[in-house]
Amino acid sequence: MSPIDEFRQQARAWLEENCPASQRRPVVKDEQIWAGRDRVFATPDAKLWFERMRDKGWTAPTWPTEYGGGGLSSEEEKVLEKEMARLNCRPALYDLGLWMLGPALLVHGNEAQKQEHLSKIVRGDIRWAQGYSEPAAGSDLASLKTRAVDMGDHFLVNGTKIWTTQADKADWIFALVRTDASGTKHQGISFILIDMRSAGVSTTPIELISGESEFCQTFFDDVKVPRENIVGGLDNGWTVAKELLKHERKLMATMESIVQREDESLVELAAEYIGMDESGKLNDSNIRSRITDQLMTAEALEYLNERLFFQYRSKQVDSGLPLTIKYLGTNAIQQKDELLLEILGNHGLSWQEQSHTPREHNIVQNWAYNKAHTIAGGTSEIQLNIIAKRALGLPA
Amino acid sequence: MVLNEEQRLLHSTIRDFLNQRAPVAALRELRDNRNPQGFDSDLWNELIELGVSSIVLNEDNGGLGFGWMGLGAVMEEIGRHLTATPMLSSIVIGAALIEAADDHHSTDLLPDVVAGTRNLAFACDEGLRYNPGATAAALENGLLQGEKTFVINGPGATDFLVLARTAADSKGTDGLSLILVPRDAAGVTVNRIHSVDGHSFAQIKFDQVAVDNQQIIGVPDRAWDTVAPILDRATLALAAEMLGGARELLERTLAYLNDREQFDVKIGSFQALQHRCAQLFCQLELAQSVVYKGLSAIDQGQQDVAKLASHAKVLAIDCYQKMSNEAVQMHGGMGITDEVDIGLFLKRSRVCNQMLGDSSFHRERFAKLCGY
Ligand SMILES: Cc1cc2nc3c(=O)[nH]c(=O)nc-3n(C[C@H](O)[C@H](O)[C@H](O)COP(=O)(O)OP(=O)(O)OC[C@H]3O[C@@H](n4cnc5c(N)ncnc54)[C@H](O)[C@@H]3O)c2cc1C
Ligand SMILES: Cc1cc2nc3c(=O)[nH]c(=O)nc-3n(C[C@H](O)[C@H](O)[C@H](O)COP(=O)(O)OP(=O)(O)OC[C@H]3O[C@@H](n4cnc5c(N)ncnc54)[C@H](O)[C@@H]3O)c2cc1C
Repeated sequence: MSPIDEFRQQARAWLEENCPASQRRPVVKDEQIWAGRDRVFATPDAKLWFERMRDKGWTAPTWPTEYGGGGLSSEEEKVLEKEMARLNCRPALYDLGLWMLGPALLVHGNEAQKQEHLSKIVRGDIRWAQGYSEPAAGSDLASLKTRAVDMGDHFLVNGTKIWTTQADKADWIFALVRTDASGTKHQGISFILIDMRSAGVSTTPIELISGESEFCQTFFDDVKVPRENIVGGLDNGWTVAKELLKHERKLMATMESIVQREDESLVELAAEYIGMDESGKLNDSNIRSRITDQLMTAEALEYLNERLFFQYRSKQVDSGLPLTIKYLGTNAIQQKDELLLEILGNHGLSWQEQSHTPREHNIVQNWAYNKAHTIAGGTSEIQLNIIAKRALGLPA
Repeated sequence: MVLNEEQRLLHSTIRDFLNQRAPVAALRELRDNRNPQGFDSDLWNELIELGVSSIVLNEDNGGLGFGWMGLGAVMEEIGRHLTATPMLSSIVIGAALIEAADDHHSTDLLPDVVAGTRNLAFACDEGLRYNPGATAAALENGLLQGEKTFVINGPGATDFLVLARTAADSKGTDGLSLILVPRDAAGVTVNRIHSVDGHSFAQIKFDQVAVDNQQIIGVPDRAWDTVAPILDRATLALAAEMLGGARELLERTLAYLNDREQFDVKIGSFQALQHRCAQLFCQLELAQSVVYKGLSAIDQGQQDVAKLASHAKVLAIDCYQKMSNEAVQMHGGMGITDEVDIGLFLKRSRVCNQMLGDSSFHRERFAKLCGY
């Protein structure tokens, strides 16, 4: 048996033994296991599952074992993901530190920073927030204005960040701040780590069209940050940020599969709400036809991901290909949400109506929330700009 | 879902060969001369020498073992160069049908087909659109009666593989047989159809054509069992050809946008055009992934690729159609001239759309296979 097949067998056996049955069902929002000092588990099974995965290092499968990671190769990670998907295992940990900061620290952090932060991330002890966007700096992120003034042993941070996901629940935040305003806008930015308990940090939740308040505006008012919390060198934050955006885009793309798992089968829902005729066709030919469009897109996306995996494995990557995934994947989610909503008929129009099922409520809420996918992590238009320039070579 | 080293070599060999020997100008020549058989025999023989007719045969029949991914690479180049050849009809469908029947024809006929000395055309369509289940041509008391239309490669074929009803009172795709009819048999009339894309199709009349049992390929009355999977594979090959055409169009359009200036800048700097190109690129790569998935599924021994074939065809249709419309548009006034090649791709795309089933046909089939 080849080593990778051997690994597959071991992983499969371990997951079968260690993943509780309740953690093998599609995850619902309230039962996600988020990191943090004040971590809470929806059920004892969730806690058990998290602890077993953590102790195995599989909350961060490819990170080096010295920082508590699993030390797996990317091929082994892919196998592990496949095996988890096969058993429907829920993700054992949710955290921006895990998805975004960690990979950037591995590349740009110094040894002390890695020692200090990585194992806490793997162990789910700290919940991280991302402080990039500002009221006047969205797509044009480099125009950010939050200042950090050099005071010798520390920096003094003043300004505001917006759309900071879960800032009110986060323990730490990684942020982009301006440390030098004299050069071009991409120069003079630094990447800094800030403890949310520091004096002068405050957050205000923002209510969304889905009725949730997932993000905040975050304020920094004369916040003192130790000098050693700068990552990747002073005024070198844009390089670190770019590294991290790569991971964010990957994350947004995999969000698709996360979301896919938690939600509905279009065909089943349509069969229930619209019905089928004697020949087994859905009663609404227009919906039926648009379900075909959606299934064809969603399945094709899986094949695109699979193709990309084979390209990586054989070291023949078409550099344009990874750029397409976020644009296509986020559109596909929304295309599906629109259909789900339509299939519900007028049950898709009410808001927190007692007489409607939680499932109906979820569909409506997700439909509204998922509008964020084509905005967060670089809007669709920005993705198209990048594709046009990098993959197609069109002039700036 | 990526080409291996031999397949990549095959791909670049075919690409270089067609670039030099048969650029799109070769199709113009066929079209303008109204070439009676619809393809250039010398070119076809040279392609055969490069091995294209043996790519997916079994090894005992002289197959080269490049697999369907390799075949897809060849089809992509055929699509890029708009090459008119009997590849799809005589090899991907014809030779495969003969080989699958695995009877005396495999030894008598197959070697000639692979060598290009005989040429097959699959006679299936009868009405306005592809719909094998509606086959009305019938064999009764040893006589074949019926009319076939838009037969791919019909004018250049030496023999026809005719799908006809042989079981009385049968319906749909049940009760069909595949019948080998030589072009010069008494009662066969072939009329060339000059199609919009400059390729060649035929209207064929079979009037009381005498047929004996030896001419039935495979199991009588049960032809569909063998034909269907072969048409699924052919559909994937056709989709690969279509995406070759779409890819060529994207590259030509990008080159034009990087060259043409208006308002003192390259028109490729306008975001309105950039975004559309980026979307076309995404659409192309998505469709390409389904085609590769289908072709590599065959290579991995998956027997039933019906759903993947329909899936691939639909995405290839949508992609090629959109790409060709946009390519014309982005070439401005030049796009609607016969002088530039873009219009030839536009026309080819519409023909490919209908060959082996249009979008409605395959969407319906996909939905049925998925159980809604
Ligand atoms: C769910 C969600 C979570 C988020 N989480 C975080 C977080 O944790 N931390 C954080 O820092 N930020 C976060 N963000 C912010 C996110 O990164 C920004 O919303 C995003 O970068 C867009 O910025 P903006 O909202 O200011 O829109 P703008 O940049 O003002 O864009 C408005 C519109 O103009 C278009 N546009 C802008 N520039 C161009 C251009 N050059 N060409 C064509 N069109 C253009 C955009 O595509 C968009 O349609 C989150 C956003 C969402 C939706
Ligand atoms: C059937 C026909 C009849 C015609 N009759 C006449 C006539 O009688 N007299 C006459 O003088 N002319 C005539 N024309 C010419 C016609 O006006 C031009 O073809 C037209 O103005 C477009 O110019 P172009 O072909 O040079 O394309 P280009 O300007 O080169 O355009 C190429 C592509 O770039 C796009 N593009 C260009 N600039 C921008 C921009 N700023 N932003 C976004 N996209 C842009 C275009 O929309 C197009 O898709 C005719 C053209 C046709 C097709």
